[in-house]
Amino acid sequence: MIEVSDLRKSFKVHKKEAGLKGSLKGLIKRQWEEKHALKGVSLKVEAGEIVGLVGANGAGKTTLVKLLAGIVHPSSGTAKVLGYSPWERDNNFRRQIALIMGQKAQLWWDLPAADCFLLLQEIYRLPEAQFRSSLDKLTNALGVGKQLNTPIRRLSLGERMKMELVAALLHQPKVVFLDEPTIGLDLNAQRSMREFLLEYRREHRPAMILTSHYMEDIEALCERIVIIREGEFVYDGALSRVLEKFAGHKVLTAKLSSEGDKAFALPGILGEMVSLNPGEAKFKIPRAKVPEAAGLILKSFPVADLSIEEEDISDIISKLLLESRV
Amino acid sequence: MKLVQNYRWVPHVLSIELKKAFSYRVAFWVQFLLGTGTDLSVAYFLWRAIFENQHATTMQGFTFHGILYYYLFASFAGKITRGADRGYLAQDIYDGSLTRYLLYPLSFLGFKFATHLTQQLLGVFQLLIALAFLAIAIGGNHAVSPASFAAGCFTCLLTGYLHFNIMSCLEMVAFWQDVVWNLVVMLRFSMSFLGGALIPLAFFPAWGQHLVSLTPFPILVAFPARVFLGEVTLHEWVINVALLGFWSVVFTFLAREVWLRGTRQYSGVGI
Repeated sequence: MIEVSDLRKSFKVHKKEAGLKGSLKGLIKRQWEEKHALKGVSLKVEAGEIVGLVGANGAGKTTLVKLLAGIVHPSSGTAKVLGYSPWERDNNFRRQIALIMGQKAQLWWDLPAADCFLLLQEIYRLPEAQFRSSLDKLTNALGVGKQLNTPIRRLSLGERMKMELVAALLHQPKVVFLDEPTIGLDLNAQRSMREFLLEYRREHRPAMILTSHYMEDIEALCERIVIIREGEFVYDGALSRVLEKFAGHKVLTAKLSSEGDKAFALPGILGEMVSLNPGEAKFKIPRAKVPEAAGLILKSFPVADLSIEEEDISDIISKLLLESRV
Repeated sequence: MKLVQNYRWVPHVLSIELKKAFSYRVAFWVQFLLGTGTDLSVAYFLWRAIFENQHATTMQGFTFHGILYYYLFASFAGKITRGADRGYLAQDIYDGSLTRYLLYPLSFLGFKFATHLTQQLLGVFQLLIALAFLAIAIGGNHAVSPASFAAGCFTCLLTGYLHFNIMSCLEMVAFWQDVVWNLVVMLRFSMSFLGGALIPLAFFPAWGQHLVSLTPFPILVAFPARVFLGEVTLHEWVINVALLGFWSVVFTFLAREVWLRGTRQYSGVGI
């Protein structure tokens, strides 16, 4: 469905010195800087897959999404989405994709959502029956039926985002790009958005690419992630493998029946005690040494309960983003 | 058939834009009354003083009432021709709203032309109100026949297409430059002065009239104004429409080229 090969994108950015002197200089001669947003990335996404694009601000996630949605032209490389070059913007291509941007409203600000949807019905040439059934289904699922006649600018952020989602999915796109779809939403709205997207995926099996800074979004929606740093992919694979491959430790939490021994120290090779609080001790143990360390902890502490957990995935990804190329 | 299918959304855009215009009723009346009122008041006091000073009953073929009607029609011809010249294209490019039009299966320029057309229709509606008012207020021998009114409206639709393309070329400079309002102001001034909205072209010296006739501006304002007044023969109308066609082809081609090059530059700011 999506095939990207050696895609590159550079922007020329005007460089301006600070202050009045810099502004005056800029009047005569401008300095330009070339910024490489994507440095030759390749990717394949199949139908029904949700791929999470993870990276710091300015890593190139949104640029990739904009390229694949046909908004910007690449500097070089190729991409085929549903067999089309996105930036040629063939109408048949545009009828089969959707882009949802959490930071940018796409619906017409002054119009009630109902008017926007009717306009979209004409733009996407949706037959009346299909339009009505899609609209009812989507508005019911997202619980925004009562707000249909309110102008978009008068809706809350959560309601607006839901309307954006309805607008983007009315024509049942085969490829969906989601750029920070839950940004700024409260926890309940985030959760209902995620549940809705999973339900939509189950029913329609589109290829989806999601960018988000919320690891909860990535963990809930994506089996596969692509980690992008400074315009390059540093990891492309299963989310679960990130833990296997990059999480060197597990976290053992011992609930204590009485106060633990503050002087206790695990032998260095078995890991370290991260914290000791009344009723609880936490240890960071190398994955291979977990059984041995657990035995020793059980022997040395009055343990009422012992849990073994993976390291926090967001910590691992943050580390990956900071470290050198994998 | 395919063309009709591709533009099924146009009536919907027209209806939405009309609803928007009528829902902001204060803006509608203020813009109409203030704009038309100012133009006509200036013309009235200025030309009354000139006619009284010259002790003349006609000047360059205009009576006092005739010149007022000319200003009325020049003002409305300019207004209807300009349609929605409010920097929509440049603003969309500047703030990244263009993105939505790149995603939807429609033509951006086509969509904007549909909104422009709505503003043209609103201009015609306002002209009808102004005519009714003036017929009662000042009377005169320049009452417009239904045929010349229809011909004037049709001519304005054609001039509106040319103006839309000229304006698009200028506004799409926003793909490269952040500020383009100065170009838009220049176009508006050129249209008013060289188009005959500020001073009727008959008052220009012969060489000035010749120079101005080499630009598209007289066809944008003075020509439709004279069609409204019933002063244009069929032969003259055909020649001017042919000229209008020529300029329209030139600027349609230019607008398309600027669009194609501009969208290659577009970076979709704001997302």
